[in-house]
Amino acid sequence: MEGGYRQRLVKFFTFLGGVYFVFEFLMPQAILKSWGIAERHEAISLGFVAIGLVAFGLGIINLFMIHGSKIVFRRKGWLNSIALLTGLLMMVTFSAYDWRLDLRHEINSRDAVVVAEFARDIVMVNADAERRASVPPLPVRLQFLAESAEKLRATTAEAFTNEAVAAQTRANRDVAVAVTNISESLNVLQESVQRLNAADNDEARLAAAQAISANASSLAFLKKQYGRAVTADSYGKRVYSFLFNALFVSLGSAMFSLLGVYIAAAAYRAFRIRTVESSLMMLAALIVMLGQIPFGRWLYSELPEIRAWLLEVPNAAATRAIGFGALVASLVLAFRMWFSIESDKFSGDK
Amino acid sequence: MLGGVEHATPGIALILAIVLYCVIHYIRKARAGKEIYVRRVPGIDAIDEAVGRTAELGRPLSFSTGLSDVGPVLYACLGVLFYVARKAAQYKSKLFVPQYSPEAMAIVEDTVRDSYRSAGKSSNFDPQSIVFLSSDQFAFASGYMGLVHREKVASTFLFGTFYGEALVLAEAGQQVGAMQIAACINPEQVPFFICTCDYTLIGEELFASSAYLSREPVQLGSLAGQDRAKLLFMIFIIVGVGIATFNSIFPASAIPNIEYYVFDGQWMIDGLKAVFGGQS
Repeated sequence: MEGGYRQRLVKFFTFLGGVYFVFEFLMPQAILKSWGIAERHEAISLGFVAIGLVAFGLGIINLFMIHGSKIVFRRKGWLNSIALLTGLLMMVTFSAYDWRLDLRHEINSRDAVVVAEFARDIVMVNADAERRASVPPLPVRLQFLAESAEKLRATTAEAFTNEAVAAQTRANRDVAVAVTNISESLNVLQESVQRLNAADNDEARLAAAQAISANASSLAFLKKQYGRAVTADSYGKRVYSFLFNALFVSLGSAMFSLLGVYIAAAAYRAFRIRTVESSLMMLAALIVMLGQIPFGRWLYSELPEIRAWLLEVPNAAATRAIGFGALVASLVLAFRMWFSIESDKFSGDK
Repeated sequence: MLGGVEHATPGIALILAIVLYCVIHYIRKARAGKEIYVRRVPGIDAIDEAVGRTAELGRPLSFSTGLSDVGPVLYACLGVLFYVARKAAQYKSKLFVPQYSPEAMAIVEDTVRDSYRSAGKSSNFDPQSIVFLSSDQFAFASGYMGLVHREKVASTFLFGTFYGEALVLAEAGQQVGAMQIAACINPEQVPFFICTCDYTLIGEELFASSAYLSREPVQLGSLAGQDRAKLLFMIFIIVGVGIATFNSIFPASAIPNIEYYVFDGQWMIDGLKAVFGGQS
C-alpha cells in the first residue's frame, strides 16, 4: 500500500512539474503578461534548474563511494582512484578560492553599481507616469544622486591614492593600467556630476544622470579589473589557472584531437568497397571532400556546386527525415512521461 | 522554424491535440488486445546475442546512455537498459553503466535495480556498477575509454544522445574487440556509429526498441500512435510542397501555405469570428 501511495505522489509531482511548462507554452503571451507569469518565467525556470543541480551531490557521493572503497580495500587501480579524488578535491578547493576572490571584487565594486543603477532608475521612472507618482520628486532624487556620485568619486579617489596602491602600481603593469583607467574614469564622473549640478532644466539633468549611470558602470568594471590584476599573481590563483588551463583544458583538447586519428581508422574500415551502398558512400564522400578544396575545383570547375547539391538536397532530406521521426517520438514520450502513462514493466511490479 | 517556437499558436495547439489523441487512442486499442505489428529491426534482434556473448566469454558488458539528460531520450533508453540488465542478471554477467549526468544516474540506478529484482537476482545487483564519470564531455569520454580497456568488455551498448565524443566511445569498444550496438538520435553522429559498431539504430528506432523488446500494450500503442502522427506530418509536407509549387507556377494565386496555418493564429480567430458573428 505504501508503494502505491509513493507511486501516486511521484506521478502527481511529475504532472505538476509539466503543467507549468505546458501552460506557459500554450497560453497567449498577453494572458501570461496580465497574470504576471511572463516576467517571473525566468526565475521559475531557474528554480527547476536549481532542483536539478541538487543531483550533483549524488554524483560526488557516487565518486567517493566507488573510488573510496577502491582505495580502502586496495582494489585494482587504487592509485588511479587516489589521483582522481585528489584532483577532485584540489579542483573544488581552488575553484572555491577563485570564486571567493571574484566575490570580493564584486563587493568592492558594489558602491559604483548601486550609483549606476540608481541613476538609471531615475531616468526610467521619470518616463513612467505611474511609477513617478510613488517616488520622491525628481529634484530631490537628482540631488541625492549628485551627492552619492560625488561621495563615490571621493572615496574611490582616496582609496586609490595611498602608498600601498602606488607600490602595487610600480610592481605590476596590469595594476598600473587599471589604476590609470580608474583615475580617468573618476575625472569623467566628476565632469558628469558638475554637469548635473549646473543644468538648468530637467532634460539636461536627466541627460547628466544617464551619463553618471554609464560612468559609474564603467567604474564598477574597472574596480573589478583592478582587483583581478592585484590577485592575478596570488598563489591560489596561479594554482587554479594551472589546474584549469594547463591540465583540464589541455587534456580535453588531447581527447578531442584523438578524434582525428579515430576518424581515419573508422573511415578506412567503412570505406572498403564491398557493396553498392558502400561504393555510393565512398563516391559521395570523395566528391564532398574534393569539392571542399581548391584541388577539386582545378580538377573539375563544377565540383563545388555538386558538393553543395549533395549536402543541401539528398543529405538535408535524409537528416530532416531522421530529425522528424526522432522529434515526433520525443514528443510522444514526453506526453507519456507527463501523464505517467507507463508500461507495466516500470510500474506494475514495484 | 522548428525549435524556434517559444509559444504555441492555435495551429500548433491543434496539432499537439491530434498527436495526443492518436497516442491515447492506440494505447487504448493495444490495451484492448489489438495486435500491433512492429517490423523487425536487426539491431534490436542482436541484443540477445550481444548479452549472450558476454556470458560465453566471461567478460563484462557496458551500457552507456551517452550525454542524455533526464528527458524523453533517456526514458526511451531505460526500456532497453531494463531488458539488457535483466538478461545480464540472468546470465550472471557483470554490467557497467557509466554515467554523465548525476540526475539521470539516480533514475538509471533504480531501473537496473528493478531489472535485477524482476530477474530474481536482487542480491547480485552492485550499485557500484553504475559509475558516475564526469559531467564534462571529454572527461566522460576518457573515463569511458579507460573503463572499456581496463575491464575488457565483451559487448557495449551506446544508446542515447551523443555528440563529438561518439567516435571516441565507439572506437574504444572496437579496440577491445567488443560487439557494439548503438542507437543515436543525432543524425551527424550516426555515420560514426555505422563505421564503428556492429549494429546501429537510427533516430526513431531508438524509441521503438523498447516497445519491440517488451511487446507491452502501452509501448506498442504509443509507437502506433506516433506513426499515425508522422503520417499527418507527411501529408502536411506533401500538401505544402504542392501549394508552394502551384504558387511558384501561378504567382498571382498566392494561396496561403501550411506554414501560415501552423504558425499564424489569425486564421482561427477570423474563422471563429465568422462562425460566432464577430463575438469571439
